[in-house]
Amino acid sequence: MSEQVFENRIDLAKLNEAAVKIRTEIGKVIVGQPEMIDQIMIALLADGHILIEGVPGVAKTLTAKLFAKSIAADFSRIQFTPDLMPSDVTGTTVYSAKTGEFEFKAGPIFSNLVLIDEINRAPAKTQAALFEVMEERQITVDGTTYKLDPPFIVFATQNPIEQEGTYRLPEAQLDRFLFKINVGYPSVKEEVEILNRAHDRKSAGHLDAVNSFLTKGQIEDFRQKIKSLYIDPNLRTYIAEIISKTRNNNALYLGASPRASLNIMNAAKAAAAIAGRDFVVPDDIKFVAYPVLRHRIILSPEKEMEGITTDSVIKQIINSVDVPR
Amino acid sequence: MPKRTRTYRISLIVTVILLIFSVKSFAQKEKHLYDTDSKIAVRTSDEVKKLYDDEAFNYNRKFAEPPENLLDRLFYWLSRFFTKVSEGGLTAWIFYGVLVLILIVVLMQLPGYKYDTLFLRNKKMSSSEIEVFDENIHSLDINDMIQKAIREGDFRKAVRYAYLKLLKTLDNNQLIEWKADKTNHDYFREMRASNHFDHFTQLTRTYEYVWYGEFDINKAQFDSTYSVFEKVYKDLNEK
Repeated sequence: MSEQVFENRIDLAKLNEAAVKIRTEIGKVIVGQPEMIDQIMIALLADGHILIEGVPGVAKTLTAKLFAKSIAADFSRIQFTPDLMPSDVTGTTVYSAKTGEFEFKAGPIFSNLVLIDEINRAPAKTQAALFEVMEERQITVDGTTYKLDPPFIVFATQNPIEQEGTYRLPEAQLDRFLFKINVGYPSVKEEVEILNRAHDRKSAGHLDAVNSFLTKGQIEDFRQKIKSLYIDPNLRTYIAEIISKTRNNNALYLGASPRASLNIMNAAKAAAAIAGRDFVVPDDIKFVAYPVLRHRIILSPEKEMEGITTDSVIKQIINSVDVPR
Repeated sequence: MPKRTRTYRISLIVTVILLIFSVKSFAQKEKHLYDTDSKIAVRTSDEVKKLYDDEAFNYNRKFAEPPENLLDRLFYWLSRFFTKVSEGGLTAWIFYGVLVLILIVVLMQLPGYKYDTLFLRNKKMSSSEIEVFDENIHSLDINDMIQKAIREGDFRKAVRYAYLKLLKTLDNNQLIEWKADKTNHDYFREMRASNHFDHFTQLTRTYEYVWYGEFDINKAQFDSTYSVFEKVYKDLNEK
């Protein structure tokens, strides 16, 4: 008997081709971390911002730069420091002696891909400057609103270990990140591969190895297709039940917002598209639930002191909800 | 102010207030230490006789000796206990309330019980769509459901039931461990070493496209797919 062949109702061939190419290009430099690469791709296609957390030296910044390199779009980098002012990010109005008028000088946030390195080193007032631009893709300075060209993606990195001179990100800002991706250490085998590549490459630069192949227009096209992917009503209920359980959990001080439900659905659609399906399955939801929820929920002080992690609570919540069949 | 500090301060203030009141309650009263207002009631002989005749003051009553057998003694003790409780008015109601609560808690501990279905069971079961969604596959008569779906020409539903039967069969043969919260990917991992992995992959794909993707499946396609289902059932001796 031959296998049933189902043809997608939405043409995802080019998107799948691009996903394979991204994995290949990034894989030229980054060893392992397939989950992180897939999650970044999903966020990119679901029009979401990404917060990457990991100890120093696990290629957080490099990964963000490589992704930026693979897309033929504007890229800027902001190193967040304790003395950074909001106007250093958004831009400011300056007096031009030549014209005798005040002119707006756009800040580094006016770009398609913005890498904010060590985001938790800037104080709350600078973090607050990101609220409007991250949610509404626009910046208001001196009463004038400037719209940003799509795509607009913030890649932010932070280090979980250092406490000195860092500021915990406000919940409102954390909620604006689609994913929080945790980057772990490589395995021994992967570490050997890193050493081998570094030894063979000698002085060649990392970024030179990656070619730009995705255009802004292609990304927009993929995003439009992903929005029209099918998700069964039972799966929407499944998402709602998971989110609801975060709000009634004794281990949690704060549950997830409705924005989290929407983010899970959109990210699950992007995950389905990358997998070559034009519909969502429960596995897509489970896969994206962790990076969507881990920065949105807050553990109760008792559980935090017990050493319980948000991921373990998310796992317990997901395992308590029946998969629709 | 941090929540903890505030709680600590409130509890400190309450403690101090309680201490002040407790000290005050032990302070010596200024007035008489004995009661001078009570009136002496004079009882008539009829009233005294009535008290004498009251069974509660009969100290010569002979109670039945507790039985020596351990089981009989337990029943004896229980009967006396319930007699006392039934004479207790409000106490009796409280006792019975606690008993009912204990019974509910014991029932809730039974295996397979779902907390949210205690009062909503009938409501939930009213929809055949949700029936399978909530139920343990081992408690369903899946063969009947498959045949009914085929008779009605609802091949989408038939694929769904056939796949549930496949999971049940694999679980019976200990190739997977069925759990309501597991996804197909979880079962893939468990099936990787099995001889039926290829068939499982093929059938899972069909199930996902037909059920989650809402793809149409006609009779010819269903017959073709169902023959693979039947082959796996047969290989695993499932009727």
